[in-house]
Amino acid sequence: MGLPGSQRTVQRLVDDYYPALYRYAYRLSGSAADAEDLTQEAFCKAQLNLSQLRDPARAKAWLFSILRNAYLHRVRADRQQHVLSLEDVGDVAEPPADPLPDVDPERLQRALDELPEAFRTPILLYYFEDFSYRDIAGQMDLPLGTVMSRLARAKAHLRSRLLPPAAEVLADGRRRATDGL
Amino acid sequence: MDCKTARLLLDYARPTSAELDPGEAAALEGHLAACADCDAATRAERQLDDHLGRAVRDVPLPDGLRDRLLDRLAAERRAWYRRKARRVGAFAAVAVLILGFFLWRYWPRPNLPTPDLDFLVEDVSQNNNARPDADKLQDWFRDKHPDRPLIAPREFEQRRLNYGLLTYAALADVQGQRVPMLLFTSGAKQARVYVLSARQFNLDELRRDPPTVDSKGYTVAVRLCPDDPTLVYIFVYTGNSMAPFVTGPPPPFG
Repeated sequence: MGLPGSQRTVQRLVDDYYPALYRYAYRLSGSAADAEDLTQEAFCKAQLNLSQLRDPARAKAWLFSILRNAYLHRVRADRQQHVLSLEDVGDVAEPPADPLPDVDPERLQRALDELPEAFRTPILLYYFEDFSYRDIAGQMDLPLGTVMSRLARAKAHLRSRLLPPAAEVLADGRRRATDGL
Repeated sequence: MDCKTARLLLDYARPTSAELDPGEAAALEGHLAACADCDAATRAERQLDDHLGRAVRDVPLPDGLRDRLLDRLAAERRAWYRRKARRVGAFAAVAVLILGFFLWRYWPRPNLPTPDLDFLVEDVSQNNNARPDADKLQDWFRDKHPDRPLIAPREFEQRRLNYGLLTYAALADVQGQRVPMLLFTSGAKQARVYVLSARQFNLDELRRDPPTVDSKGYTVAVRLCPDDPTLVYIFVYTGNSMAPFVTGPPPPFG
């Protein structure tokens, strides 16, 4: 490992990204304590490897990638994770009621925890703004089509768990998540 | 553009991230302006996405998180520099011997002179007798090495260095740079002082947080030159105390 990044640069990274990074860590792990550990670990690794960040505009994606790798490293050591099988993650749900009800935070985290990591990560990266489908595909080393498919199924799962459906029938031509993927 | 194509492209038309090329984006927007069904479906989908996205991002931050992160990063930096100083100190102590040997053994010498034993005796005599203090050492260094003037260390932790114990002074090779090196000897104990310049080394971190570390029976202590901010002194001594090489009472605890 080379010289740690300059203190000022590292502090700027912390100030710019620690809220988003912590929130992502929390949604990944489901635990405030684990989220804080993961966030610290990600910034420590970033400090030691700052020379790898050639384009400052990619700092957020880079930090998220470091954190995800740290999370996966921990998860591999913990085999007791209760998640749905990939087969159980459903299709597009019915359109929800209007107006949209508030989302209960605990139910949301339970719904996220039920998702396998392969589906949870894309949906979290999707909702943490700025990440294009190509960014997500690059971070997970997956084809674009696979990312789109997993996103659609993860969204459907969240909707089915969190938002009650409306009374209307689906309009013709509305595509299902697995069509063409 | 027809409705089926528009529905397929909708996922790529996120407001926060432009995934479509400009032509496709314009065609999609044109279709939505003309097709009420697709426009309604788009609005509902985006509203739902915003709703879920806000909920996913709505995680309260723990109090003091930022400060704990910065404290941890500062501690990691200090630990890294302590490890680095240990390696530098050990390398500095050994590199002089090894590199000096190879330079003496393999450096090509055209027109090799015959050793003059009288000259050597005179040189040793001058070395031992003419430098009883830091000022005379600096004068001697200026005469011998005018391109490497020396600001000699005078104290170590507020106690005067005993130049009566100085047995050797020369330029040593450290990581490819020629630096003044002073050797003090007291019985079986030795202390070397390397004088490093900011013109030869990146001294930023050493100056910011001068370490004292132990490695392989030596202590390496980095101290700033009080007279020149571009210099640092690296003391490498046997054991864990410079007491054999200094004079005067120890400073009172303050």
